[in-house]
Amino acid sequence: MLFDRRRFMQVGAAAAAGTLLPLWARGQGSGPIKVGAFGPMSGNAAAQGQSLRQGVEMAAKAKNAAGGLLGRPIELVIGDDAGKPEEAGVIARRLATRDNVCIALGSVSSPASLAAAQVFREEQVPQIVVSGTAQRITTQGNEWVFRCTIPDRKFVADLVDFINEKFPRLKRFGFIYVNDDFGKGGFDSFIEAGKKYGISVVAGESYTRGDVDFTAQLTKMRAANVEAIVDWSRYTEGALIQRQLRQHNMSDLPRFGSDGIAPPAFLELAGEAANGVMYATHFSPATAADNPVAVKWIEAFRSEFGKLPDYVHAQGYDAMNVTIQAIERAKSIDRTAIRDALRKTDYQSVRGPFKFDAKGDPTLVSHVVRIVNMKETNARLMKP
Amino acid sequence: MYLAELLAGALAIGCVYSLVALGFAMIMRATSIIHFAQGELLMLGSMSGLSTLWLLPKLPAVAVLICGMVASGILAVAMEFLVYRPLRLRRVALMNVITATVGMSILCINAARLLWGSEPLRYPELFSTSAYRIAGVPVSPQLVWIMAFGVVLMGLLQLFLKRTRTGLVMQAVAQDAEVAQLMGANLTRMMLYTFAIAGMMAGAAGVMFGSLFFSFFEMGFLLGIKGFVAATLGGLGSLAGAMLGGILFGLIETFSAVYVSSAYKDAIGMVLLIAILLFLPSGLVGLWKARG
Repeated sequence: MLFDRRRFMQVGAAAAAGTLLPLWARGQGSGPIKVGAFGPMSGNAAAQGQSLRQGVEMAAKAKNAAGGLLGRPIELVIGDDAGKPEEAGVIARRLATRDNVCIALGSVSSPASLAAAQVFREEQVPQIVVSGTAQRITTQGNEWVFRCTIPDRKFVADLVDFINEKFPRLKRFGFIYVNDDFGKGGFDSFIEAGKKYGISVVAGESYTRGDVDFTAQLTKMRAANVEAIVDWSRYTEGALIQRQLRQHNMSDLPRFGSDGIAPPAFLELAGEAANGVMYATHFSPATAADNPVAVKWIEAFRSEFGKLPDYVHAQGYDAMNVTIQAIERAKSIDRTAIRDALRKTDYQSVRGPFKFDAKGDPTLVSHVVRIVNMKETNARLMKP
Repeated sequence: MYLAELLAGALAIGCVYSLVALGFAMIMRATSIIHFAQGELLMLGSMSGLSTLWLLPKLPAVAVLICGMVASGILAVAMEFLVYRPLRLRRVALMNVITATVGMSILCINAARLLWGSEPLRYPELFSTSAYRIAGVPVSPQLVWIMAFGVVLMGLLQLFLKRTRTGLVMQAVAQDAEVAQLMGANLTRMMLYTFAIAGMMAGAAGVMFGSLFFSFFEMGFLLGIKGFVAATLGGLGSLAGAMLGGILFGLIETFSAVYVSSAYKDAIGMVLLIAILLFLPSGLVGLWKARG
């Protein structure tokens, strides 16, 4: 691109404004407390971005209605990263400098969360990743990053613990997974976590995203005499796999899955074939019955939005409440003070007792649900 | 025992490929066009069959199949009449007509996304769900019915082409259009018939595929390519070759996934296409003719 004089002046003026504005903004001591919330508000994952926003807003609104935070109202600054890492980097910079937020909550996807985390680390802004599950978000020595969702490996390990507790006799597993980061990550973690219980994968079969015919994979599993099947897929392929398991008379085997099949579209596509499948999930109204905080919240959510909350709603809501408590403990909106207060989090979340470990990951335990009569039920209440 | 199940799965998907390949071969023979919108005719047939099922949930499987066939047949005729024929009449180069078929395919995909949305849609169960026992081996009824429909359709097509007057004229036009026209054949009408039949085959394949898996606005792309590979495998332009090519491609795909690698199922098919074009450009039919 060639710069002519006019364009040069424009860019120069914009750059000057960009560096001077934050100085002016930081000078304000009172007024609203600015909290950034960002995620894919547009694009493929827009539904999840909206869930994040609704969850965060619900918690902030409740606090504002109860007199505000440190006597000041909370002002949310919403950013749209469209699910893209490059956009997330730009949004993070804007939140940190122009909007001058004291903490940022987001994003939904791991790549976008990571890209933002690099910027927030540079700018020294505490960040709570709402839904990004990739392990490396919290393993890079970044002391400004926290996470509100259970990371990949722990998620799989929780499912393996559940299997060992409820089905101690199952040792020979067939594992079918989509051949990308999500599927391979699940597959490797399952083998790793299964070792201590003597659980082994005797048939590990992958497929390409978009495949529809899994005859070959399922036949190989049957030939290997598997005792149970684990499927690490997203809902479209996951639904087809459950239907084809039934076609091949393999649906009597215990079947486990990932949260990739948690969206309601899975039940729609799989139909009756979904019955009996068990999967780990971050949040489900079905598993909330023994958590009074969750029961109350789900009721409030239902009366406000006329529907049941999904797991991103729950994570966004928890992230905002953790933030509120940290700022109350810090008694200040200083970024470093908030970060240190976050480390001392001890909170009853809608997903269970919530603390951060040394890396910044939550100490939650994954929920496990089982589809019975086309509905999620709490699988942890099953008899072994 | 597992062999029987694998075989049934491979033959059923092979029948779907055969029907798509037949459409490619018929259009290729009659007009020399490689009709890249063939996969989209399949998708639209699948969607139409599904929409009829939404309106009339009790409809038997055969009727759904016919609805899908009729819808795709009409669409194919519309494509020929409104786009390809005017292009040919203007003596546009063949390459440009083929490019127009790609355009047609993109148009269909986008129209389908608007009409049916971008999420995969489930077909209701068309067939009984409890397994049939054939010689003591349990086989899914869906697979059995799809094979049966496929074989019957291909049989009917052969009867039509070999035993009826219109069928014979179509064959004559495909072999030498000018001579056939001199003998009194109506070229325009025969072309329309060709597209109608090619569309109907694709529509049937769409309903079959949908009932096995699901309907999806982008489903036509890969299926179209696979049908094209099957037609090439058989020897482009040969009807018997297309049918054989489809079944063979289904077998190769399924068994290579079992014995080579399931992760590279589609890649193996595409490698096969390149290998055929390199070493056996006239396909199975060429091989057979060379021996004979």
